[in-house]
Amino acid sequence: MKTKALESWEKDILRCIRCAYCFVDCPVLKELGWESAGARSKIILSYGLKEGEIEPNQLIKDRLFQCCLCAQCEINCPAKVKVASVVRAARRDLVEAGHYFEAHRMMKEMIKKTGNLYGEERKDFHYPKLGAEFALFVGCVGKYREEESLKRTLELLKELGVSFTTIEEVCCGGVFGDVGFEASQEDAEHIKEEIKKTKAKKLLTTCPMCYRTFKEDPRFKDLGVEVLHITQLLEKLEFPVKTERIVTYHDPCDLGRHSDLYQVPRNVIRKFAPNFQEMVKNRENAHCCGAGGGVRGSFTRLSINMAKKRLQEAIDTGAEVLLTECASCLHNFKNAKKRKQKIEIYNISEFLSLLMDGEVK
Amino acid sequence: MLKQLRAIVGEENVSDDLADRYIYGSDASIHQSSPSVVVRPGSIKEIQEILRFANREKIPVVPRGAGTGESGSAVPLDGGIVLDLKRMDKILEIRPQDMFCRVEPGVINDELNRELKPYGFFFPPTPASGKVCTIGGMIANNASGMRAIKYGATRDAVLGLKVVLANGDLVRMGTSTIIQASGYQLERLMVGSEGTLGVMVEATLRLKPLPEERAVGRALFYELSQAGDAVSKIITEGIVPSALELMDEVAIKSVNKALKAGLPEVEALILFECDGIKASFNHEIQKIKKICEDCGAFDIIISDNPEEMEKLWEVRSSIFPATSMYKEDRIRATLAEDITVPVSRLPELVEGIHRIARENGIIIGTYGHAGEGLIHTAFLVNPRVSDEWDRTRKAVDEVFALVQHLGGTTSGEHGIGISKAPYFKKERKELLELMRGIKKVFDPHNILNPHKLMDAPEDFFTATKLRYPVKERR
Repeated sequence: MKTKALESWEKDILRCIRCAYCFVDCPVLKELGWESAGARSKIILSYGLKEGEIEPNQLIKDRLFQCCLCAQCEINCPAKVKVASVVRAARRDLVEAGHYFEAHRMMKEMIKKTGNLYGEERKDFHYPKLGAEFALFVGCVGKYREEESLKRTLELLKELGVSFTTIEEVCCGGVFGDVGFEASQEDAEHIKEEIKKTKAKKLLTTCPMCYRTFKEDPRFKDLGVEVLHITQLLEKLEFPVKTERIVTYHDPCDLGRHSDLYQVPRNVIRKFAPNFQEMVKNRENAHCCGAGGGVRGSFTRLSINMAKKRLQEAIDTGAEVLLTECASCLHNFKNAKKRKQKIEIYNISEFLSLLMDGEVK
Repeated sequence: MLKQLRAIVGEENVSDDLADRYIYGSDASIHQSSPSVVVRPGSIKEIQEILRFANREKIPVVPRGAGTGESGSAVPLDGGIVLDLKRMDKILEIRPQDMFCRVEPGVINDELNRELKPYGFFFPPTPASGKVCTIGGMIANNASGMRAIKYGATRDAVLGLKVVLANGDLVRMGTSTIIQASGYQLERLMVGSEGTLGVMVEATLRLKPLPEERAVGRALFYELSQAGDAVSKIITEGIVPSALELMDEVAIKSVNKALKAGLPEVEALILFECDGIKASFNHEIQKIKKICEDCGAFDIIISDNPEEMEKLWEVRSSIFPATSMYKEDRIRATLAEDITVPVSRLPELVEGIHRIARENGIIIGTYGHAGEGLIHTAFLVNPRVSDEWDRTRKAVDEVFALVQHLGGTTSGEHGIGISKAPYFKKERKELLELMRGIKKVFDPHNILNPHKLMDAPEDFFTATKLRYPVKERR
């Protein structure tokens, strides 16, 4: 197989000393057991493909796609190898050579047809407001998979008097870089145009993946507005409510390891939940929920098993409530939760809205 | 072969897929050589059955832990079966009253110590890879690490072993007692045998009480030779620190670059640790400080803050991979790696390595468990340039010649594998036939990790494909 994207990552691939320190806390390796599933092996397989020592087959493809791109390995790597970037590049080359997952290709088609990842009938939350301070971008997962939670988030923003306006969204395309496809420039232009129309100076995102995409994706280089994640806004606001319940927090990888926003959501939680309990693995060492990197779409059981483990870690803290601020993490945790498990799972903003309406304690 | 193996361990624990064969054909060494099949047994019984089958069919079997070895011990030279033992990761018993624990081979070093902590005990070997390496691999290579100066190497902690022999028989070696004088200490023979004599399936390990307190010191030196002198003098004074580590400029700059460690970028520094009861080790710490000062050290810092100490040791354990960050176009190739000399010869060794590097126009970083006479050599090469490999190979030859001249040994703690075998064979030349005889008794059909140690290829560089894109090979 001819590789192209991997060529740019040769230095990282060669810098990997293969010490295997990245095996520690690699969530996929923990689930699958085979060394070939671990982070180090993804670098070795990438090397093999790049140097033509191996040719793609089903398992090589699986192994390179069985990665949530959570980047825990990068935290543990003293040689600072950009493992997630190498994996992304390997996927790009695989896809280019026709080795893609149908579920991922379908997402491309779905977006073309419906503007969202799931191919669902278009839903729009209409909160249009001229002259709003924030243009709001909610993303596909929230809108089409965690609608109730998202509605609560929007309620909260209204109740707190945040001046925002919705736009006619299409998928930001962030996921495509993760699964080896090229994201649509046309969609990016549409989003930029929509934001421009609002005349807002700031873009508020509820989804950490969208947040990252707007901040990092070259397609949005000329976005021209400040991009904020909702936790960054909430940190500046005050809430007239408190919960006495024990609360813990899960760091979404896109918000934490990829965007360095660890303290901000904790500052928000501290304002209304004095009984906060950290999980043993937190901040840059927080275990992944298993939803990222296209794993949920192509390896659902693997994804859910990772979520089950992370959820158990939350339960082990003694917390009654698990908070996060990511529709993907939220969705995966809810799918992983067994009925007998009493812990309640919410996005921070959703929980705050419920708390303010007296619907939870 | 696949059919029989699947019948023994189940389909999900056997793979002959290219992905697995490629991955299990490498470790942290420079070598790449794939097995025919990878098997992940989950019980002693399964391992016995696999070996019975392999012995009958004369198929090579290479046991493997986490694949963190730096010499290629777990890289199969003759294809065959790689036996991934990581599924066997149970701590079977912890008996503080008898000062031992029983574990399966796939237990990870740091995880064992986490479990032992509440009992007030620990398993002393402290390899830098402790967070990922397995007990089985540590025994097979006689790993040690920075605390061996006080607490000994893995061999000193192995009281007993259960071993599956090449013919599938299960035997028990050693005891569960702290001492024994009951004939041949075969469990000791297994230590450092690198999978050539049997498959270790259970280990009884001696535990040590956790010291109540520790303190760590750091001394900076303008010259590497001053640091070497200080180490030698500390040992001569009869002081037994629980760690005595040396880092040269390459190591210091690498961790600063990789981890933002913030260490002063001097030519050398020494890290020392004393443990036990503060009242008694304070005296030792002060003595070490004085010796360092006499040897020209400056800016000596001593701390007993647990967070600071942990941070410092974390930095230390990161040097191996971090040296790949030292210079843009160079990567760390695992060569020589753990050469060891009598401690008094350490200054000559370190000085000699840097001379060899200069003369051959290459970079070699040096650091390691100086108090044990062990130096890790970080060969930093541009892997695409064949001329650089030529000079590197010459330097490796010269480093090992120097080690032998100084009365040292080829490997202090990583084992021989493939990369060090030619030098090991020189060092132990009068013992090679005896070793072959022992191997034959244990493994008459030569199925267990064949062509390693005394039977390894004469030229490590051409023994396997290299895992680097070097353009030309000799």
